[in-house]
Amino acid sequence: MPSIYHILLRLLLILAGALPWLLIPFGSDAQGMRLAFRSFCHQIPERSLIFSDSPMVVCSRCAGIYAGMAIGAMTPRLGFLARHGRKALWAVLCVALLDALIQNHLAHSVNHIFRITTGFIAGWAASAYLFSSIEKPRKVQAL
Amino acid sequence: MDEATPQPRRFSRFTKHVILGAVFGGVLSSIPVLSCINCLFCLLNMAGVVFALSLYLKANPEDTLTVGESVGFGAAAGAGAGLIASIASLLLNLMFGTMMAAMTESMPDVANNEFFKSMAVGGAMSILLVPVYIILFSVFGLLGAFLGMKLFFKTRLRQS
Repeated sequence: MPSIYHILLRLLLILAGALPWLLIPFGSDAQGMRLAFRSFCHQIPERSLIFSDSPMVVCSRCAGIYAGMAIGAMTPRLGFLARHGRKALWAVLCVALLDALIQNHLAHSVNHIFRITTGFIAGWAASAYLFSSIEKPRKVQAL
Repeated sequence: MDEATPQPRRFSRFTKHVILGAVFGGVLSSIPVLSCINCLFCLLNMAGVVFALSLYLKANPEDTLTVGESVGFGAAAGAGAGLIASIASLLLNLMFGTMMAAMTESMPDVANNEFFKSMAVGGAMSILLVPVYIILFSVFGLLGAFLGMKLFFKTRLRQS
């Protein structure tokens, strides 16, 4: 049974991860909230997803990271990540960094699918690895 | 007390470095020019927390941390950074608002009224955003501390 702290931690990560997506329906009325995300993201409109003529409060890579973080907090403890999470995390961070370098310096256009996917995987891996590390494996009772 | 008895490890031993992490993260994130570094994984706040963590580990070479302690360290430092960043944002808004107000004195009343209305809304919004700042900064702070411990200071981790 996970402790109350772990549940609160999961809720905190889900809340933070879902926040930029929950602001989509507010469109340009969420301009005030852009201020809160300014410290975390460059918010360049060309690199952001556009919904109803209004860019999201974060860029598409950060949107992926936030979504991955929320989904990772909903993921139960994974034994694979508890054992090999460090290597997996280095791998996804390297892929995300490589994509950022390619898209910023080599590519001629912004590819939102790559940005969201690499961001999502990095966010999910970090969040799921966190919970796989702090929660103990469930004991399976012998029949 | 017997010398071999392990000393209780209290969270308060992190206080100084949590404050340092809060100041690093909060101040770095408040500098508009540095926001270009945020292009990957919201780096500035995390970097501040990891830097404070590294200072703590360097100052206490015998100490080891559990994952839970490092997460607590990051969350506390992140929350502090959020508070500092939100206050800095409020002050910047006030400063620029005052400058703009001085510049708009010569404008007609209608434009002036609109300007002051938008300034008031902006100021109120800055105050309302304080808890949002604290939540976001503490989440990225705790992730930063966790990733920092796992990726860079793995040897200083201990099982809970």
